[in-house]
Amino acid sequence: MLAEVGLGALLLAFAAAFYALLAAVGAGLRNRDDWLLSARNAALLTFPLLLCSASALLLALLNGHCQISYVWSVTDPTTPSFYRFTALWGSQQGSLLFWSLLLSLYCFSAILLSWREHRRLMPGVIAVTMATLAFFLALSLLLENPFERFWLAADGTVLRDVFIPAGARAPDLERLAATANGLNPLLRHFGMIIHPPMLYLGFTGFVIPFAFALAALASGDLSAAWIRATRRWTLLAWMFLGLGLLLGGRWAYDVLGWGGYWGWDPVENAALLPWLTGTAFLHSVLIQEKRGMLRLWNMLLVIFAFSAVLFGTFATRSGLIESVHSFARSDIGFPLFAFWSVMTLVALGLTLWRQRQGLLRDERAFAGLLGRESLFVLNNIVFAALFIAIFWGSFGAPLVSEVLLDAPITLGVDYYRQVTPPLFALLFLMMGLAPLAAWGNSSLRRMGAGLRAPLLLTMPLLALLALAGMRTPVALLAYGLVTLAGMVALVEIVRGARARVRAWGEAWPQALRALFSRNRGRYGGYVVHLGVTVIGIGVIGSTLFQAETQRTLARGESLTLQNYELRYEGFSQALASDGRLLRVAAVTLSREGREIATLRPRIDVFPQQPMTIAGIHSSAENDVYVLLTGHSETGARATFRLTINPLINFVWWGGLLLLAGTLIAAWPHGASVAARRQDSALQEAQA
Amino acid sequence: MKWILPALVLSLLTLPALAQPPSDDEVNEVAARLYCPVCENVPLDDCETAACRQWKAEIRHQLDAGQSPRAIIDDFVARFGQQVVGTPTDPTLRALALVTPWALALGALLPGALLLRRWARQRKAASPLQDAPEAQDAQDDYRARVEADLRARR
Repeated sequence: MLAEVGLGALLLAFAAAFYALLAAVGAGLRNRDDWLLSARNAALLTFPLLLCSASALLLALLNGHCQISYVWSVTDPTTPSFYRFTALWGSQQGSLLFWSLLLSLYCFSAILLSWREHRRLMPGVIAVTMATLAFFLALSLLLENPFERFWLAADGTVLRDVFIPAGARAPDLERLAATANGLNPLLRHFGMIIHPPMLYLGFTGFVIPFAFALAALASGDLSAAWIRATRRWTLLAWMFLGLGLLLGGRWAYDVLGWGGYWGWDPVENAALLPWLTGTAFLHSVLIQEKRGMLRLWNMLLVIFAFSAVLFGTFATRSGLIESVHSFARSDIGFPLFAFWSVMTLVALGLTLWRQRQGLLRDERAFAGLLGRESLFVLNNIVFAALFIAIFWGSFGAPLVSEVLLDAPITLGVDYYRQVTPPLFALLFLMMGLAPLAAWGNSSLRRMGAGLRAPLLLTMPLLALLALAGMRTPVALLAYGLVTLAGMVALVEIVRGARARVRAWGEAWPQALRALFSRNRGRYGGYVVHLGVTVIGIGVIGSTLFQAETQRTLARGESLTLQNYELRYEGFSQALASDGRLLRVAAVTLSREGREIATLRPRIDVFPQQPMTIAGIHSSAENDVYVLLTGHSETGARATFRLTINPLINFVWWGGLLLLAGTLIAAWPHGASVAARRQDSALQEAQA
Repeated sequence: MKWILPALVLSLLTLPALAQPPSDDEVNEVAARLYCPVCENVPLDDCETAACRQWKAEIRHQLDAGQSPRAIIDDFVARFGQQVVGTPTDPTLRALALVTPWALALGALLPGALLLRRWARQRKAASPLQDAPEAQDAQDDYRARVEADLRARR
């Protein structure tokens, strides 16, 4: 029954999306308001329908309806309820449905919230969002149907089909359950309940700015309206994608057992590319809002951000890349590639057409090379260069060398460590300088004056680091740039609050609250800069100063790394309730002769594969990360890999600051909410 | 002097036996520069598949036989191709991998430079009178709002 309900709702959602697409295109071409209203209603209907469909699949997962082949492939009778929930996005079919559900949620919210204010853009917005949704729903219906079931043919063969084949019957459910696969061990982690939804919320969210941009291009209304309508959506999508990336890093750190959080894997990079483009857009859009400049560039950034989302989806789901993060090889590769190409080419074609008509011309002329506009342009160029370098390393070089030179290559961490650091250094430099430059024009003297306080705060920190023994010039330069960028943000916040304290005699907490509530975008942005600074401190520390050693120890023996000593105490084996065999080592960690922790690194042996779960002693200073990489039959001898990751927790703490800053920046301004309420009341009174 | 020759012979005979076998860290140092033959994009030192364990055992064997890390990596590349290393060792492929992104980035820089040049020209063409309000416009929204609030308080 659940399969029928889920499939029916999925079919209806596709029909509604397709109808909304046609009606919206018709409404746009013939200027028919009644068609537009009908398109809107159909588009709004897709969300509750997909919620119904996803709920049916979730119920089937929770209740073990393993006649549905998706349920059979991602759960088994021992799977705990928690992981049955995460199994909704644990494999291709379920995650595609979940993807469509989130996409429809964005469409639902954006159409409802922007309906009155941006009515002129609505035909285009509905057409683009519904075309995207209809495409993904078609993939679910035709190629990766999550409601496909097992059937037993008359001759005893097991068939997989959405509908019951002639002469077939339902198989014995108990026998089916006994052969069920269970969830991929890599996905049995608390982080998996948050990481994929965040990532998908980030990916799907970029459809809204893309839809508004295309609607603006199609309608010819290339005023700042589409920018105003989409900035907050971009910020939201950007925040979710950033959180998804950070949570993915944490998952890799905890589950993949290699002591790091970012391996420059092509699938990780595929998610980073739209985030980089989104970051560039969030900066350059300010120039369009405030100065009416970079209109063509902003249009291209929005297009490339969504194009990168579609390409990343194609790369991850088609089997183009083999990775721990990607889905298995699938038939959806070609349709996804075709959809990505068509959407990108149509968007670029429309942009070129409007550019030739002069509709994307800047409104204002440039005022000076040291103005904030110029620094933002430079910042965007660096983002573009970073995008190119990462895209080239992940997809370009491997494809070109294999197709043209018949020599398959892999570009790994070595490549990214050679190419990306200068670009990241430039980005931090821009992050420090741009807030000090004024719109229009600025002078070196003004910027120098602005830099004085941040520099005075940065220099003693660097001196302290040098005195503490850090003599690597690269590390000092990196910490100098990162800290300077953070200090600029901090000083700007203090400067703004002090102005209020001096002018109005406000207390500091009150001044800070007022400062943030009066200009959320600017000061939220500074908090984001602080978050990025803290992440930068963590990345530099854990990359440049990571220390590692590996040794095989007999019980009672120990190994030493820096001022830490690890002693092997004992070994045990146990069977967990979900069927995995746990091989656990007990080790004592001491620092300078003092015992500080007992850790239990372990190997979880699943039927599919073993997993190495680290024992971690965490502090602000560093993480001591212990892996059990092997052992003798009885556990008399075991091999340990000990890694010290300095400052790694700054990466996660910076993520929290980034989240806080984005929420501040995206939060609706109190005054505008009140104004909107007044407007609505006025409209109702007039009606 | 009599004892020097026998001592030399003895030390030469016992040296290989006394030589330390390669440590896990030495093996991992080489393995970190090679990529897993089974799981793509995973460095060998981080991978615990059977194939990787076999490769690591081979690295250990070659180190034990006195091979240098460079020679071991070259041997793996010769046998399995350029995809076993994180950056190609072949000069052409290495240049393709490392030079192209910079060339492409310069390509991205060019439109930016052209845009700045166009802006600079537009600015020169504009009259000083037109520029004056631009410079004043350096004050941002926030400052304008603070000043409006201050005026209202007065």
